[in-house]
Amino acid sequence: MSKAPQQDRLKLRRSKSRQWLGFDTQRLLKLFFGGNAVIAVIVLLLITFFLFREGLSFFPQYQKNMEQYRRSGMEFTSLVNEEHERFNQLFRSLVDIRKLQIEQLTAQGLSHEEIAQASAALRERIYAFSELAVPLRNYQRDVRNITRDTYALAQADLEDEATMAQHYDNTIAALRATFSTYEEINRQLVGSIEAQLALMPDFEGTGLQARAKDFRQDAEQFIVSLPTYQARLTAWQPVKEVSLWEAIASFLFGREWIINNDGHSSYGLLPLLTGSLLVTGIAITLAIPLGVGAAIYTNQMALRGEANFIKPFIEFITAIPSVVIGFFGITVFGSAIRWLSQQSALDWLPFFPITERLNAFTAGCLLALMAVPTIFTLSEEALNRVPKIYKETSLALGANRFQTTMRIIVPTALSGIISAVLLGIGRVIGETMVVLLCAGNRIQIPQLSEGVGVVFEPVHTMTGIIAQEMGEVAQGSMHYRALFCVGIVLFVLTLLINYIAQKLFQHERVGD
Amino acid sequence: MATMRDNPFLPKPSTSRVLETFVRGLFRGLTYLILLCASIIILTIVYKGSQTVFQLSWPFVNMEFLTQAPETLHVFEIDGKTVEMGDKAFRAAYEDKGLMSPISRTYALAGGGIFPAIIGTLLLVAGAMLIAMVLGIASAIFLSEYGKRGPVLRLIRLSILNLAGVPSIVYGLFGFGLFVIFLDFNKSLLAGWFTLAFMVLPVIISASEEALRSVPKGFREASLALGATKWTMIRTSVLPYALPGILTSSILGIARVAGETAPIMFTAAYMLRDHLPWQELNHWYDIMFQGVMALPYHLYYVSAKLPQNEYTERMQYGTALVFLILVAVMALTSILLRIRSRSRHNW
Amino acid sequence: MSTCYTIHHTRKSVLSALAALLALTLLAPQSLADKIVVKGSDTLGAKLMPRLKEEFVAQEDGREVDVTFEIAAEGSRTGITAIIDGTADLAMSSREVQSSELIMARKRGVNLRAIPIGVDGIAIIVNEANPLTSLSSREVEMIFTGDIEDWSAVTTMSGKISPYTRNTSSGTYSTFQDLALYQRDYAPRAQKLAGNEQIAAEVAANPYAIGYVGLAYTHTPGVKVLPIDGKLPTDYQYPYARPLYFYIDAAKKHSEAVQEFIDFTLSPEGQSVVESVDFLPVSRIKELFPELARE
Repeated sequence: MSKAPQQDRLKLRRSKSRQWLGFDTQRLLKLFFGGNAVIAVIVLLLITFFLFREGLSFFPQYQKNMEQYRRSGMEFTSLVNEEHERFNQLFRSLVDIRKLQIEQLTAQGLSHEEIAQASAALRERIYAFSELAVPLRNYQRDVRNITRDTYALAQADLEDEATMAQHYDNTIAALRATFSTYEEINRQLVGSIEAQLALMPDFEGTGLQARAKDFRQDAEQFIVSLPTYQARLTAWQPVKEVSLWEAIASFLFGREWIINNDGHSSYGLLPLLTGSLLVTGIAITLAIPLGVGAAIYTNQMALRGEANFIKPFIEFITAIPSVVIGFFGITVFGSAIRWLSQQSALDWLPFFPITERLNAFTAGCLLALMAVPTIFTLSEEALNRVPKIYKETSLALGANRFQTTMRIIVPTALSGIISAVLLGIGRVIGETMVVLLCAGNRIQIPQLSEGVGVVFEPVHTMTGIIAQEMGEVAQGSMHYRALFCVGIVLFVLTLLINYIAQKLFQHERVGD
Repeated sequence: MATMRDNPFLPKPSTSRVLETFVRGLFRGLTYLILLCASIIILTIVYKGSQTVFQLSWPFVNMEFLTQAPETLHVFEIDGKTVEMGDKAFRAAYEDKGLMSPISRTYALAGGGIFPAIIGTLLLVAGAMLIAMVLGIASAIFLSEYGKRGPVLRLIRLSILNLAGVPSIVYGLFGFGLFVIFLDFNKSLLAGWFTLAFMVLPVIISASEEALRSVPKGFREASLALGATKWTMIRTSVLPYALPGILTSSILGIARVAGETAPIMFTAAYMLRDHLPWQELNHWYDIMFQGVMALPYHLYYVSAKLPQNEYTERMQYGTALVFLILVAVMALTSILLRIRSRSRHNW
Repeated sequence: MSTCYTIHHTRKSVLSALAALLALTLLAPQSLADKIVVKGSDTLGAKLMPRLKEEFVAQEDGREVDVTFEIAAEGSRTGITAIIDGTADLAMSSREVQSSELIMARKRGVNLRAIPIGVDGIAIIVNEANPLTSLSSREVEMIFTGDIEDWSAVTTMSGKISPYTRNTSSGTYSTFQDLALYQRDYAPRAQKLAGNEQIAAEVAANPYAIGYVGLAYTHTPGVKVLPIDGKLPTDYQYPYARPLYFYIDAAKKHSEAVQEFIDFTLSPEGQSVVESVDFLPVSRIKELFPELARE
């Protein structure tokens, strides 16, 4: 009896745990934590699942849509449009003559009125020439009007199969009836182009003459190529089926992202993907030397007090919200870049001066600043983790500090640094606000023919398009799903980058 | 000079030495270039914004800007002087007195202040962090203390780590699809809370777990050896040491939640909402279904959709500064905390 | 045994979590009597709507219950979509409803009703430094579809044209496509900007730029409005004039506040606000769009 209270006082005995609804506290706590973990995992799974469910159902829908597009005869407009585009190319080579002429006249110091007078004859030709395409344009509109209702009806999915087939047949029949008009238009086009060529004024100077000659040659080629367009139209098959692969390919490799709310939209990823890659490329090219250089400097060369000041400062950059950086870009930085490009001291650069202040470069520079903290912090950490013994051994063997840094420490930490750069890329590619505000939002594949000047082209990005168009879409519509599809591409891309970065990181951990 | 050259202990000038000086200078230059660029951005916003947010006389901050809702700014000329007035003042001065109002140029949102946006951001952050921290920290405790080590746990950990890098816009897309449309929350605080919470969840879980795992095993073993139950062990021997790390990650999470625009653009934020979320409700819980104005979205809106001129610029920079201060204070706390905790625990 | 236990209870906790979510969902469709959710056009939303709202609230000051406005202006399509989805009470639109939207609305049992509230002319603006003084509608079409890519085709200046358009959700974007481009697609070169003000600002700063904006945005310094086929946007028979609309779901019962707000907009006070931001009043619709008035 006397022993028991002593034991109590020592509190060595496990106190009898309280019971709640038949569970003891320990189990309840475990359940609480476990439940939370399960919810968290489920939520994260749900995100992935939801994203893929919404996104992947885009492809069958797009396939169906492409089929409707074809069967309703709407596709016919795009075929006519190809000829129109070819004509425009010819037209542009005519404009090129005047462009050179104006540049020459401006260089002579003429005023706008004098230039107008001097190139009036050519202006007249351009004007007349532009009118030649009008019948072709009107024909396109007519075709669109014939097919539009059927196409809209097909999309609405209200009619049954047989009625729809009937609608399709009627439309195609109506369309075929217009073929003779089309042939007539082309016949007239040949005649009027020849008439216009006869009216072309003569030019002085070899440059202008050469361009005029190019134009004539191009016009002849155009006339020769006309029958092939016509043949393609006759051979066009409105009942050819569209496979799922075709839909997937036209999303992944489509060169056009055109939203036509009242007609056919095409969802091609390439302009957005290339835009994202261009911006990311610019940002990373700038951020790697800055981030890695700063990491090496801070870790290996800086004075102690200096490092203590640099590190928190660079980490602090993470705290600047992206929309603030975008705001700075749109108010100050973009204009500053353009102002700089207009300085005569920089005229020797082939792509200066630039006209657009919002372009890939503006966005890239700002994103570089946002990638720097990630790259810096992780690279610095990687350098830090290089075992001391490496450094000591190197120094003992007679290498100086600089050699040790560059030849021993940096190569050892290299996989960590690469992983840091990868994570930086992941951060930049997923950034939204800066590109939305500062990249210029031009949905076109950057034209590499411009050389380095390509970096000053406005682009649109995957993140930007989601942010810009997400609010306008109705649930379940194709556009909505297309945006989810872009989301999946982003998701997979960043996941892949992160995964590789982590593998590299672990690899390095194992190494030491 | 001659003596110096004769000194055999002085290092000889060599290409490698020149290279060293050059590279060192280059790296130093790069480092300071980063600091310079960041400083330019911050200082521009602080300089221009402080003219709106602060003033020279008592109470030194522009109370109107911080406590009023945005309104249209009227700019007009009287007796050759340019006068600016917010919409309410303009009305009070003219229309309510029955006077003919002068012809004025108007600038939407340029007058008044940004109070609803500040409140909206605070509400969004508070709700999102509550959800994210409860879920995140509890999950982290489970993963590091209770979970059986094995391939499943590794897989979960890896996926969470990877999800942390998924762009915020993708979470926005998800939140828009699931909460706003599928669950019919509409644009509301609730949809915003969940979207933001799920966005930071992976960050909080992985950072908290790392903090928990960095507590040496010996602490746990010692505690268990003394007869403590598992929970007592966690409570007394693990959590206190992991707390700074968890706190740091949470504060960083707050900064991220407050700073993101993309996820709330289509889930919670309105360009203009003239009542605060708790006003004019039928039921108290309706607050969850109110949309709000939020600082990041407001800043996006006014910088993308409003002109930049002398009248609107003040409000734009003022918003940017208030927002920057709000986020920067949180981030700075977290950075300082991390530095302190780094130096304190060196097991 | 114990794992079995855990799994069982894990499932239980998952279920309860889902139940909690479900409960929240059930609470969700509580809309407030005096809240007006307005979504839609930026043309209307960035300038006119805040002014209308202020004026309306000032007029209603004596009332017992205040009206709460929630306004989001991301483009006409967002507004009409929101009406169809039931997430807004009132849509601002700078264009008529499109066939695809009508079909969608019919599917969901939504009856879209258009209420014209004013008239806007889409003004074509260029930089002040541009020697152009006028354009023909054919030239406008060719510039915005990308047929013409260089200024030398239409004026005495050479250099690549930078066309600025609105983003795809904008009503101005589709209306312009109908009125000016013969429904052709925009040039891929065209940059899609978020708002009228931004287009005006970019055009003011870029001598090679051309863009279109609503009438309310033509006073930006540094830009000039071009007459099209000899007509200014405020003129009779300007080719790019268009009515501005509110859309509501006529199949749904509306709160009084929505009706009051619409009435206010159409009242003389409301129309004077419309005019004060440089749009034309709805009374001119008859004169400008005879075919609309007949309907």
